[in-house]
Amino acid sequence: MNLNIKAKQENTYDAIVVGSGISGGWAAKELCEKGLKTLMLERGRNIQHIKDYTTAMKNPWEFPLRGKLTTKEKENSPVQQRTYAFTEQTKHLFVNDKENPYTEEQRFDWIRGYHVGGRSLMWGRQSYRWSEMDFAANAQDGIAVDWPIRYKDLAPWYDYVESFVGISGQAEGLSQLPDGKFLPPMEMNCLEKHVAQKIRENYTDRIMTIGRTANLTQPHNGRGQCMYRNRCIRGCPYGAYFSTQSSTLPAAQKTGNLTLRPHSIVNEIIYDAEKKRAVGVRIIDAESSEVMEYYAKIIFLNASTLGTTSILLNSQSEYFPNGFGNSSGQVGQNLMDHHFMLGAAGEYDGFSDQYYKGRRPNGIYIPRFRNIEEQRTDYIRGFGYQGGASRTGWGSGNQGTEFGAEFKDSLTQPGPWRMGLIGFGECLPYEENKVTLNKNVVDKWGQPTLSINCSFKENEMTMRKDIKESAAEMLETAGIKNVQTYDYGASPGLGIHEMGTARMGKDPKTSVLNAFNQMHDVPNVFITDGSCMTSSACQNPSLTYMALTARACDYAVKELKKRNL
Amino acid sequence: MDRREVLKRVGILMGGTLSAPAIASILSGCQPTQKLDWTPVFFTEEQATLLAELTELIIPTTDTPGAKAAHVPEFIDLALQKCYSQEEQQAFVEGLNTLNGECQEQFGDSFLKCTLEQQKEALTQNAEKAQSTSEDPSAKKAFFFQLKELTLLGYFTSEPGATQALEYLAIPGEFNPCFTIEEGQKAWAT
Repeated sequence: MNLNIKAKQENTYDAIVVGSGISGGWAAKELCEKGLKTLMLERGRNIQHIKDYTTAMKNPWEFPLRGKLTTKEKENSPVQQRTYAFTEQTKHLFVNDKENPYTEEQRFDWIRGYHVGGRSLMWGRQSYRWSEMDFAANAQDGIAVDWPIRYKDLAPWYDYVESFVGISGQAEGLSQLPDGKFLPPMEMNCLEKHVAQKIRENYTDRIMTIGRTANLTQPHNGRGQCMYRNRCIRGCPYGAYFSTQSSTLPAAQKTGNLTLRPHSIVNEIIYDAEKKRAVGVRIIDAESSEVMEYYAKIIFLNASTLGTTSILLNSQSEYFPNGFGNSSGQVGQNLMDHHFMLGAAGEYDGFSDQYYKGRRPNGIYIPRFRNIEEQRTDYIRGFGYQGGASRTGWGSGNQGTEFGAEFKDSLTQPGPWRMGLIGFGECLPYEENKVTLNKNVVDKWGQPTLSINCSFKENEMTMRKDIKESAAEMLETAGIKNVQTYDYGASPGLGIHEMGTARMGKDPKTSVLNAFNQMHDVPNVFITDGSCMTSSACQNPSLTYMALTARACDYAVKELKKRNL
Repeated sequence: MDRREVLKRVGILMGGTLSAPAIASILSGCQPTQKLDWTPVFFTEEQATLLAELTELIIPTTDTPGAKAAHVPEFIDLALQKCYSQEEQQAFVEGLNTLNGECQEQFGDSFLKCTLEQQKEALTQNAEKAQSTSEDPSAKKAFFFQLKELTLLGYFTSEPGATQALEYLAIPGEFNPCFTIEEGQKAWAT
């Protein structure tokens, strides 16, 4: 008995954070800095900053397969290989799909990394604020439920997280894409500048700006500036982009309040029906398979949208027969992802004596311009474009029948300029786009897995026509030749912006979380990863997860001090 | 006068349409050695020898190293073993055999016994056939294009390819968005 009490004390913290990715890292940092003894649980292995970036400093010829994956690796990870990011250089950062099964009722590309830092190590780093228009959209359109917050609620928290993260970008004064606390912007190359200028001359409703990215253009908070290697995804030895390892984890560790426990698969949240509170979590140690319990006053779920949803659905009890905090029935519903993989590209005759030096880990951005002043009749919401210009390299030699010395020589010189745009469109929340718990397929610990049934629908498909056509029109207007549109198909997941399965809302009957990301049903549980999102907007979402997390932590600790939790 | 200069002048004499590297290739047009100095893990010795000559035809030695010096055949051998399905492996080997057969038929000798000009002719014809079938989107990628892609990848990501044929900056350290190219500027390796 005494032993048990001691064990329980040893496993008790002020706060538990489940997950160590972008939002989990932020939760741990904020809670630790506010004085809470915090346990951060991560299902995967540890990756230590710099030391474990095993491929970061390797040259192309040091990869025996020059980036290719082996047949075995492709067999083991049939889903991960759907993303460009999964290569010989990065394969250690993506899951083995066979060991981590889920069911695709319709194709859904669930791209995952199970390790400390999660996808903060491999993310695309594009960082955009949402705007008033985005938070008001559901209410205005009568879609799903209204967001319980507005831009003004989040604006100071965007300021707060941006100041810590370090986002380089250009202030543009747009209402639909508010400016932030920017480090100096990266520069456009000469063709990008030309296209931006032509867009300014020919359109009144849109601009092209340099991408806003969590890469440092100058030293920031003890981290080094970007070396323009564009190998971010392998982990940055200079700490020059935001990741858990480079940024939030050291801040949390500095407080002395953090305990990080890798190999800890959170399987279930433990509920005390009398107190109407969560008291802790049950984990499976991924190495020993031992089942253990950890306890805390507050719990932050940051296991990623589908990870968190899986934990909620799997935490079934007589009080929550349909999953933890799921009296609304909304847990697992309204799954969204940005639809993309389409746009236009073409060549430019000119600037043939101009070139660039350095590999800028960033492109250009054309903020949303549709359905802002005037409403289109064929679809609602909108899209933005990423893209960029470059001179073609040796890859252009893959086509054609040429070979030999002349051919070789031609490939060693800078090729023609090309400019491309790729659209990222908003996806509406649909109840029927959902994930459910599948007890028929279990993982290697015998635990149920997820089944995903999600597709883009008419609004997204109609928008896609406009995305393609508008991209081509802009490029042609800017003097780009041989413009070709492309659409590689829209299957959700591949945007790696999955969100929405435990949405925020005003009404506990129709939403899972309140305005502070607090569960309506269980007030000492907070969810601030992508699952909290009530709509998807069209901007890359990570910055918003960070701001929501910092805000929720501030609220949670205040409530804790008031003894409300 | 250095060697490059000689070649350049020869180039002018020949109508100026050939670049110096191309001329270097012509002038060094003796038959390349056909002995492997490495042990293949996937191909037979004979297949690997044929493969090596093909990669060298695609990326010959000029004023910078060619495919063989850059160990492209070794890379392709390894890639075939590790990254190709059985079906893809078979198709590739068949592609080699077909090309060899085409030489036999046309020139009465196996590829390796043909002259350099005959080898070029055989590969050109093979490439043109591949091009004509590439318009069918449902068709599998023809042998020629598989070979060419692997050769280019293997070469331009090799150390000599990246650092001599192209210019490689491991750590650029800065981003210069626009500068005026001076003569001899090579394309960036990555």
